[in-house]
Amino acid sequence: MQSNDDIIRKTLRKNMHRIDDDSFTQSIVKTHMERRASVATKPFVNFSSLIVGLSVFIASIGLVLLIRYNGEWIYETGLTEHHGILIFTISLLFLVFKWLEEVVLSRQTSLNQE
Amino acid sequence: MESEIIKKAASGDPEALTLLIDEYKDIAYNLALSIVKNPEDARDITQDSFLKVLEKIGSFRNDAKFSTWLYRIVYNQSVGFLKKANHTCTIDYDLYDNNSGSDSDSEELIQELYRAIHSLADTDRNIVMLFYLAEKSVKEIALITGLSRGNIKVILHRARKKIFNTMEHAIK
Repeated sequence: MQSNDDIIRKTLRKNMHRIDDDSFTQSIVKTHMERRASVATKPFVNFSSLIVGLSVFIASIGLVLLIRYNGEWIYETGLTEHHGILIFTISLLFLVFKWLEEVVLSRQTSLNQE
Repeated sequence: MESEIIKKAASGDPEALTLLIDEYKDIAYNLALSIVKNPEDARDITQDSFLKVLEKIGSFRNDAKFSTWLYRIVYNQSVGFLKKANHTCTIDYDLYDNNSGSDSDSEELIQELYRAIHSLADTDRNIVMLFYLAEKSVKEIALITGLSRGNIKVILHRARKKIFNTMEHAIK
């Protein structure tokens, strides 16, 4: 039984069709490399960041509208324009930090792919 | 050794990619050929299967053999091709490469062996090819085909009996 199995195995292996032309392998490698390159250069959209960004934008418009039509209450909170500048600066710093983070991350990703 | 080549191939090393393809292309092609029964279609399926595997090679874990993963894709692509094309093949293809240079004494035995394999039902023939040509175990064949191990054992037992009988007649 075992020897019969060996005969069949060897016969099938010895007499199987072979893809002899190098172009077969080379065309697969070439297509694969092209696809890799196109994926690496494709613009990357982070959908969760996009959703967060849009939500913040909508919330800001809501806040502006709220203040515009109910302006009185803002004076009762005791906030001054200095507080406004402080909030604005912190937000701006946060945005710059996020932007730098994205730039560093995308550089590292492209280095890994190389 | 192979895991090193896979790692290099995953990082896009063309030499490793070439080595990997050259190692498995013939068996992958013959598996596809035994299913779709047309050399051009089998070649296209083999090419597509390699591209599919290479696309995901970065996520390949070494808990299964690379060949098992590849043959599974070749098998699914080939079966999918037949279903999609609603293909019933009537082409008189030959799994046997007549140019392989066998001596005339064993020629008859080889012819009989291939005739016996041809006469098997499609699923039985695919399992025989995976078992003998791709040298896959029953467990691996189950992974590739999605059939149960018990079912594969029954099919293999039946097919081997048929092939052995044919071979014995040829030897007599």
